[in-house]
Amino acid sequence: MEDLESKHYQELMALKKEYEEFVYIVSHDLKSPLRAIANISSWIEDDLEGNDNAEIIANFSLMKGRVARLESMMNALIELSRVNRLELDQYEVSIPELVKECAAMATTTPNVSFHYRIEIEHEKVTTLAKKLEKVLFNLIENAIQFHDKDKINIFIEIIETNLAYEFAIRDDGPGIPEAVREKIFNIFYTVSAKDLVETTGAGLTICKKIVKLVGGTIELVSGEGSGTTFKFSWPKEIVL
Amino acid sequence: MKDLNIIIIDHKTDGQKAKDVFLEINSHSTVYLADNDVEAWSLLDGDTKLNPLPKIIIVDVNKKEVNGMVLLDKIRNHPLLKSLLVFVLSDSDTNKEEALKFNIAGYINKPLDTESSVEVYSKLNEYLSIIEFPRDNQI
Amino acid sequence: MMISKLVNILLVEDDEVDVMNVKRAFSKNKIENPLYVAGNGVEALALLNDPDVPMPKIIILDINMPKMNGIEFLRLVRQNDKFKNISVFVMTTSNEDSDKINAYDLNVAGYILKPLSFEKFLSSVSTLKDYWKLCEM
Repeated sequence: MEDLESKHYQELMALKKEYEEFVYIVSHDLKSPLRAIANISSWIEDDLEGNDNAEIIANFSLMKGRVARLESMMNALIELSRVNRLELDQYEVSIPELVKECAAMATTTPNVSFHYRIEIEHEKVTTLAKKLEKVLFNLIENAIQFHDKDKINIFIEIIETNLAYEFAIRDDGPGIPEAVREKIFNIFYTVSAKDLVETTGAGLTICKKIVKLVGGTIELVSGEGSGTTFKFSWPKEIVL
Repeated sequence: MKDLNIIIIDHKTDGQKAKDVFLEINSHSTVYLADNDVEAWSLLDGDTKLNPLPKIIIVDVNKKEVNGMVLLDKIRNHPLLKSLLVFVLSDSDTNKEEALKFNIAGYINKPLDTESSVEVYSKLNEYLSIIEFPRDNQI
Repeated sequence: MMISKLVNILLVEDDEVDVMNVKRAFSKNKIENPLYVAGNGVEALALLNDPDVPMPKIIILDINMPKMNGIEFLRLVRQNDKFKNISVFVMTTSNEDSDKINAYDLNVAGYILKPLSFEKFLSSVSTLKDYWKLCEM
C-alpha cells in the first residue's frame, strides 16, 4: 500500500515539475517571434507616417494592442510558473508596514483612500515576505483597477489568530456578479471585456497559487451591499 | 526611480556636493562617500565593509590625495570586486589612457559647477536606470 | 573639450530583426557612427582582427548566438590587450543572473535587456546616446 502511495506521490511531483517547466519554456521561447512582430509592426507604422489612410493606421494600432496583450499574458504565465520556484527566502517584516508599502506601490492616482483596521499583537514576523507582498499588491491593484467611481475607498483589515494572519481587503467598487464568482480565479478570466480594462486576468490566479503554497486559504466573500471583499489567511509558520 | 547603491570616492567637499546632487535627482538611491583609496577600501573589503556591497563606483582619478588609480588597480585585481561598475571622473585627460585600461564603464569630465553637476548626474542616473544588475546575494 | 569624432561601433547580433531594430533606432536617434555588423562571436573576432577594418570603440553584444555566444566572445576579447579600450554594452533577451554576472565579471559597461516594444527600445538607445556623449565616446 505504501509503495503505491509513494509511487503516486513521485508521479505527481514529476508532473508538477514538468508542467512548470513547460509553462516557462513556452512563454519564454514564444517571446522571441512575438517581439519581432511587435517591432516590425512598429517599423511599418513608422514608415506609413504621412499616409492618410486612417483605417490602416487604426488597424496597426489594434494589432500592436493585441501584441502587447499577448506579451502580458506570457509574462503572467512566466510569473505563475515561478511561484513555486523563486523568491522563496523567508525574512522578517512588519506586517502593517508591508501592507502600507503595497498600498503605496499600487496607487498611481490621487483619488484612492485607504482605511486600515489592524488588530495584531505580533507585528513582526519571519515569512515569505516577497510572496505576501505579491498577494497584497495584486488584490489592492485589482480593487483600484476595477473600480467604477471617482473616489476609491479600500478597507484593509488584519486580524491575528493563533496560527495565522487573516487579511480582508474590501473596496466600494461595483462588486462581482454572482454568476461569474466561480470563474474569477481562473487564469486570464476577466469580468469585463479585455478591451475595457487592459488586464491579463492572472492576478488572482497568482494570488491563489501563492496562498496555496504557504498553506493558507483565499476566498471571495460575497458581502452585503456593493463592493468586493477578498479574504485570505497567511500562516505564521510556513513549511515548504 | 531605481534604488541604486553607489560609492563616490572624492575629496571631501567635492564628494559631498556630488552626493547631494545625486540624491536630489534620485532620492531612492544610497550614496556612500570615501575621501581616498584607503577609506574606500575599508568600505569595500575592510573594517567598515558595506552590506549589501554597492555595485557602482564613481572615482576621481586626478586628485592626488584621492589615489584613484591605485584604487582602480586594487579593485580590478580583487576576485570579488573586479566586476564592479566603475565610472571615472577627471578634470583633464592626464590619466585617461591609463584609466581606460582598467575596463571602466565610462570616463566623465568632472562637472565644475552645480548646473553641470546636475546635468552629468542626471544623465548618469538615466543610464543606470536602463541597465540590469545581477541580484544582490549573487555578486 | 567636446570632440565630435564618430567612433566605430560593432554590433554582434545574429537575429536579422534585431539588427534592423538597432539600425532603425540609431537612425531615429541620429546616431551616425559607422556601424559594423557580425552575426556571431566568430565573425566578430574576424572583424576585430582584420587590419582593413578600423577598430571599434563600442561593441553592442548579444549573448545567445550560434557558433560562439557573447560571453565566450567577450572572454577572448578581454584576454587580448589589443582590445583593451573597447566599451562593451550587452543587449540581450536573457534575464538570467548567470549571464549578468558573467558579463560584469568581464567588465561590460552595461547590460541592457531588449524590450518588447520598439518604442521602448528607441528610448533606451536615446539614453545610450546621451551616455556616450557624456563619456565622449
